[in-house]
Amino acid sequence: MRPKLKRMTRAPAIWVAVALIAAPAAWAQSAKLNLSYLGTLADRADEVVDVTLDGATLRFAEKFMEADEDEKDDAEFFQLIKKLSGIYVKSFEFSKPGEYSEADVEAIRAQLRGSAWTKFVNVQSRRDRERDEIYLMTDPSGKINLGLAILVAEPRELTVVNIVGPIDVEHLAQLEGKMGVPDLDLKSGKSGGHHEAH
Amino acid sequence: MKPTRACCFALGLALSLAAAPAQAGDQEFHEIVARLAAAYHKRPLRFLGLVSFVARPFAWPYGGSSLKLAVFDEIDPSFSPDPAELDAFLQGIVGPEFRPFVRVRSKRDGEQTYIYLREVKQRAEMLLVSVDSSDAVVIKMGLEPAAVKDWIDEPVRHGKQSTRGQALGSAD
Repeated sequence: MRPKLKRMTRAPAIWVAVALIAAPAAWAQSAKLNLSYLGTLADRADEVVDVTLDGATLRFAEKFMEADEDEKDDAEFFQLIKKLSGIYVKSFEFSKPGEYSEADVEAIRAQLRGSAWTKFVNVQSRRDRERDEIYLMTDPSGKINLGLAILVAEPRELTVVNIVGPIDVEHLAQLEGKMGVPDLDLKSGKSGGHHEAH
Repeated sequence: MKPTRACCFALGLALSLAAAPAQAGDQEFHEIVARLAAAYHKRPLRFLGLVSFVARPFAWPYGGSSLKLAVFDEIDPSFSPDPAELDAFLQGIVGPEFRPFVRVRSKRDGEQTYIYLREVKQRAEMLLVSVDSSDAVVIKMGLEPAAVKDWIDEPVRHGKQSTRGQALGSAD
């Protein structure tokens, strides 16, 4: 390598710039969110739960779920997870309200502002001071769902769920309360709120 | 966790666990135990091998037991690695075969729990490492399909329970 080129490739600024340009492009290809932005919240949280069910773990789990396929609910649930390539959950519990800010959640929302993402559900409860948001990512044709993101923000709790793979919102109810996905009362229609597109 | 509580935890775990025979070596388990022993300048509690042996007949209805358990009691918390360090250290030891599954960090209880899963010849193996301000526990076990399903169904509940020293597995 020529010395000038060598010097250039060693310049940290260049690599930082390359990383900054390449990273959003890489994330844009997939419905997988970069949840590492929430890492800073861990120091402020009383309890942090991190669930990782990546493709390999889901395929492995499938083998143990086939046994219960006789049960209708189990069979539907099994068919649903068969198509998924990942479920990632990050949940933070705080000792008192105000320990996390809108800016913390914004790091995740910013990733959901791309044209591929649509905010599907947005429910704000003044009584419980809870805000539930569900985002859906589709392919450019808008016909194939590529993944889902769920944000549940309560005064003392923040949960982010990222489901990667084809899933319909109507099937999300089957995942409620399972695999780390919080109970959003989708079956009873609590979160059947309004549809908001960007 | 007092030594008696640690033993109760071990027994409770062994009795309630739907465990299956291990198919692979236990080198990850032994390496983690050795590294924790070096870090805490302590050896794990003795006779826990006996505990899992004694508990084995009770676990037979679920398909046998392959419980490996190590408990370090009354550790000096100043030797405890910080969460990021422990996470990287464990992932380095367990390798890519063991998939990170549940991680729980509780500031309230000063506990960190890391749970990994892997498939070994059509069976599931779970590796659990839990460290708090007074104890460190390392568990490796085979899981029956029903127990795997329960864990996958409710990883948050099971993960939180395991940090609080409650019984693991499907039998709760």
